[in-house]
Amino acid sequence: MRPFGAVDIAFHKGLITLKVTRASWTDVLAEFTRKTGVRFHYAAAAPGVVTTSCIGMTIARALECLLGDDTALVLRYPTERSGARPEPFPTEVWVLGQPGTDGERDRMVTQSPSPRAGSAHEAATTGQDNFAMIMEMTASGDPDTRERALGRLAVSGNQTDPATQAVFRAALADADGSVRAQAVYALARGGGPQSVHVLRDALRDADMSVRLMAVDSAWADEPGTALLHEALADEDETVRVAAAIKLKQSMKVVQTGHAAASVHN
Amino acid sequence: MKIVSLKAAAIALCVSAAAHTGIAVGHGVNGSLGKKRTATDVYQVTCSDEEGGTTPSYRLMTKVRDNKPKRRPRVSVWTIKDGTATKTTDANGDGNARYSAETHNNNGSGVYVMKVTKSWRGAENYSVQFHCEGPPSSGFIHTGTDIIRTQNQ
Repeated sequence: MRPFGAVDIAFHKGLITLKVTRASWTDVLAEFTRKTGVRFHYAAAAPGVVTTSCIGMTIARALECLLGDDTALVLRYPTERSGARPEPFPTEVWVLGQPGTDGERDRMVTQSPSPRAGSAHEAATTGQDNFAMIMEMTASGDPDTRERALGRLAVSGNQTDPATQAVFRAALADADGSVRAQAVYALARGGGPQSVHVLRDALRDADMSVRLMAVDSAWADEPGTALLHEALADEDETVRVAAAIKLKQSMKVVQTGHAAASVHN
Repeated sequence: MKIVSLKAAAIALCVSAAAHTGIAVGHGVNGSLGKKRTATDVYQVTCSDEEGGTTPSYRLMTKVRDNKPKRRPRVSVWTIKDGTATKTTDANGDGNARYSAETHNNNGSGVYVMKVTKSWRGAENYSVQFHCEGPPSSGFIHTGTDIIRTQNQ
């Protein structure tokens, strides 16, 4: 049995494995700093002890695991990034509020060390250079890879290319719902009559993620509004609520437009 | 690429604006996250000078609301720019009118990456409010704000 107050933190290739048994927050954060170099700033740690395991996580995810999902954080990163690390690595962390007050610290959380689905930087910097590689990824045997590739293609600047459009259309029949959802997102981004057909079909998909994406991708025009009204009867509450929110905002857009017109007239 | 701004007429994201009053400008975006634990929506928010003025942007304010249905995942919004990341989470529960605490990323004008994440498997709906704001001397006046969605999961 592990002794009370045990704090084991391993840090390898930018990933953290942390096992804590009834240790004080102060001790845990001090050991975290010693192993990773990340400095913490907080007003006061919560009294009591923590027991938790966070295995093979990036720094940001490990902090969420340790401090709780709802802890507000400010992370300071160095100006220069190390290419050896899988994601930007903070040097300082400000914990806003009290670490360890969510009462949910006795649990086991694990995360695969494989890269997370496309980061903002990845999506934003996608260009011609890796276009061919992304096209190859769309044929991967791994659904996560296909999903990520389609998401990148959707914002690549090549999304109107006929070959890219063919990939998107083929992905509408993918066996994985998340892949189909990304195809819907990609094809609906441009708007127009073809996107209406795509969204209408997507709203009848068996996977709620695809139907949710159809609602999320609907435009604030007449066909889009009709689609959203149809989605109000969806069997899944998340889809129904998303449709209701979008309809409400569509009405606001129309009202704002009328108000603006009356001001200018 | 779809760009949403105060000047844009056709919008796919909600931008509620009271620009004509000249008093307050509000920016909001509603979205959904799919079932996967790692589902993340990513936006680029560009902060520029005050529209029609010269006040530069000083910071980006964000806050997030976890909308219905009531599900286990908690929704967070992150902002990242020039080596600083902020995160705030709606811990008030799903489906009420309250937002998370506001966070501010004080990195001036330019492009901020804004990511919406969740803590657990299960689809979620969310609303994010955000404003680019001028320096303290301006009373944190709202400055130019544009948003582009670069990832929708």
